[in-house]
Amino acid sequence: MSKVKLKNYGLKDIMYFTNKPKEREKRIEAASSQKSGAVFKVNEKAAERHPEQQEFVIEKITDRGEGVKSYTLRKKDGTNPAFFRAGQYVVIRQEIDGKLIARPVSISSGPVETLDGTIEVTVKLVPDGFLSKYIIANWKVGDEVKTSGPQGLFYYEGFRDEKKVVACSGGSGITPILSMAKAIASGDEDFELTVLYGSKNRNEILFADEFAEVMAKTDKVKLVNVLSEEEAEGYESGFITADLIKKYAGDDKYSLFASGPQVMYEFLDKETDRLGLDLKHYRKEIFGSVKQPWTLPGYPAEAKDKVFNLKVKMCNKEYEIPCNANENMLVALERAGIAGPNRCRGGVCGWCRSRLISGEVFIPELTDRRRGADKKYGYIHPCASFAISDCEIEVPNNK
Amino acid sequence: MSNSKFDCVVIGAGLSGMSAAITVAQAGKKVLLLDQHNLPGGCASSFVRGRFEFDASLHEFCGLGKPGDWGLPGKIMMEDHGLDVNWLYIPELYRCVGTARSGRKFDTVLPTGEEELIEKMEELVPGSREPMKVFLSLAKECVEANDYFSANMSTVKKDGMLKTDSLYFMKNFSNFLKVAERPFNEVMRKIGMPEDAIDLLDVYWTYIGADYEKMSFVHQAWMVYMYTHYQPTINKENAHGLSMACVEKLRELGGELWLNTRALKVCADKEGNITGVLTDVGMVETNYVIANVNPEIAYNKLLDENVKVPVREFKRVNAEKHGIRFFNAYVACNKSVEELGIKDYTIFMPGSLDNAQNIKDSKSYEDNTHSVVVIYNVVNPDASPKGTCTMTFTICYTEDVWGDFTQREYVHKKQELFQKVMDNFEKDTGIIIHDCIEEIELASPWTFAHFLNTPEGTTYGYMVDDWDTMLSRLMAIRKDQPIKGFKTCGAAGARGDGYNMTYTNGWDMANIILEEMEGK
Repeated sequence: MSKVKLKNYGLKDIMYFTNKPKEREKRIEAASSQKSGAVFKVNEKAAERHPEQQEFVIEKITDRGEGVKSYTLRKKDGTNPAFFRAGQYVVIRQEIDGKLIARPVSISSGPVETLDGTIEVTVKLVPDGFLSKYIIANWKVGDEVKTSGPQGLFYYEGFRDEKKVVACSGGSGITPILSMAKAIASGDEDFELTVLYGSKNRNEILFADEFAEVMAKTDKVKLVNVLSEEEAEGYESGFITADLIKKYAGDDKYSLFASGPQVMYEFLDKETDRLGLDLKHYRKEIFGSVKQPWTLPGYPAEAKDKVFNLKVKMCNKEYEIPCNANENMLVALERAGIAGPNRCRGGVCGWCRSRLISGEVFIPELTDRRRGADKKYGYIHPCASFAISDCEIEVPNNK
Repeated sequence: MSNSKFDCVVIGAGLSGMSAAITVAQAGKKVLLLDQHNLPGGCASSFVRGRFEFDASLHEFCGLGKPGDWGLPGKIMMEDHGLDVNWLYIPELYRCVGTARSGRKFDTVLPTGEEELIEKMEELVPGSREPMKVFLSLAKECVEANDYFSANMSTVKKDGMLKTDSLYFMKNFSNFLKVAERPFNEVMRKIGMPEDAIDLLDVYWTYIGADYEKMSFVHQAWMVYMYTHYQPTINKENAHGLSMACVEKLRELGGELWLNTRALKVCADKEGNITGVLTDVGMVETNYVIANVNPEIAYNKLLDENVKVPVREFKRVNAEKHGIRFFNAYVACNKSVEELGIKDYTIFMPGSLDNAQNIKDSKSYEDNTHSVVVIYNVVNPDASPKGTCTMTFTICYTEDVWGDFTQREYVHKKQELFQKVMDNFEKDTGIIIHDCIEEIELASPWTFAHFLNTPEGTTYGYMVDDWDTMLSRLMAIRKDQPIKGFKTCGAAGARGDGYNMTYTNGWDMANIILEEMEGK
């Protein structure tokens, strides 16, 4: 570009230029000199919605049978719990023997109940489960408990999901689905939900009354109990197969939501192949870590049962801890009492993201949800990584 | 075991903080970079949903350039800092669909390259060839003057403002002196730019949010020239990859990064000399702190009482107006751009090309459905798995219109808005996406307030207003940072918003801190 000559501008404009900073000084001089304690509405709303921590008091405990208990929690400071999307979870943070243990637990209440000051979480006793055993045995009315804010991505999203949703659920995996059903009844969600709920027998069915209550309020929710070890009138029997899904989905387009134990997903994955469902239409709630990594393809057999040395750098501190190859690396950090932020325990949320400085880890493909650049630069999600040699990692501060 | 004593502590690993940390570390100083999150980058970040990774904010980097012809931000980032980044160049400025004030409807693609842009504008609006030549010449001069200015910011006058060589400016940048601070649209009219052409060039409004009848010429001219001459760019590994390249460089230089670590207080002795940063890991000793933090938060919350903050600084932050904030829809489709018939990387759909109307609408929830969408796969085929594509829709607000929504209605408000945005997009472009969305995330100012902790969830710092111009801020770059050993940087800094500006501003403030370290 060759330089131009401007006819319409002259010295006065240069004066204008040089005066600009002076004008700014005048504006500054005229402003208040008060130290500002300004609180902004948006920031307040964001803090209510995404609290780092919520401190609750246990208000009520409901025994659901089958080793399942629900806990109604009210905020200690009297404010409302964070509003959530039906299907989300909170992370329970419980100190056990001086070590902070964190585990995701489903919310079984509907989002609108937060406006009355409570949420309800439901815990199932898992035979080898560390935290569930503790909670079922120890939590009593009046106890104080801490959780994260609402987390997780297993919820209905109208831009993505079809108006019709078939939910396949097994065991205590019913809780997020129950929350969705309640949200439909309260008008917070708007979709048609058909729940295929797998249990061994009628005695194992959880939340029958709660579903009945929802269905009395709305005809958008339907419940089909599927019994694998009993035949009874008014119940489907067998497993949740492609044919059964088709039977209840009808001819409309539908999205399939799945929430249950690992074995149910393994079964369902084959059935959904037969249904020709693409990823948009098949959503799985996976929380909890991969168990028995040695059964997965690519795992080096010789690592199994070994205990490796794990060097950990956390800000200005360094630790050396044992790391059992059979457990994910976050468990090793937790056992040592130095676990930092974590939420999903299934590789998805990225909160435990850490730098692998040296050593080798096994990352199951199923739960490898790392960012592209993190893979390139050697970052891992310890909750979804298993040490297969001595390792050194740098972790975020555990506050 | 590392000692908790550092030559310099940088609070906040946004792009600006990382740039500052690298600059100080390159001078051989021991640097600690802190961030309250478990990953670095601030806005320069990404997140994963299903099989997709979404770039949180990088639409198009402005003013990078190429080896041998870097723009200033590119020179600092690539040549001085030597970052390992794989840039992709975007061949177009933008496609824009909208109605000019004259009533004329446009759906056109503006190319990059000065000659190409001039010819295209002439074709669209006859009579714009000559004014476009003048405009780009003036814009180029603005860039050169700005570069010269940026390289000569070390002498201060008695009143604290920078001392500039006015004779040099008169001789070399006389046009710059005449037009830089005049309102953009006024200059365009004076050089004879047809009104339709003004409307077409004002489309970048969404990236600035100011009133073009008042905003200084230099601001928009700098941006249009930089995009036209150097082409817009994106990182192949998205914004998170850019942040990781910064972190790698910092580590290479011996710097440390502590994540999930909050700076609680910047501490000083009785005389007000900075002595350290209290973090939730404990006290970190240092005499120099750069905070990638909004100055009002720094002054009101971060500095301890021993630090003497001049009254003028409280006045300054009280005088400033919070800048623009966004609604973003991150969308992944299970169809490729070819299947969807998408050819353009950036599509502005302002509805009206009338800047005044857009500003009016930007203060309202109901009326503001003017969006810009970037579709990453058009330029980066690897942005998402084969047979899919990812895109981000953005809406810009100049005021808080989200603060009054209740917790219960919040999600519905986001959905209602995106429904309108998507309907407009499908109508404007004929591209149908509503039936192939596999993942979607809707982010509002609440979301940005949550992740960034900025006032009102603003992402662009303070408004580049008619009185608070970039050049005035630059003239006062030292005066606005009067505390010895403590500086702030970022979008609320002298250069304003954008990756290029914040990265450059981090470098500015690091250089000032380095001078202070040397006792200057």
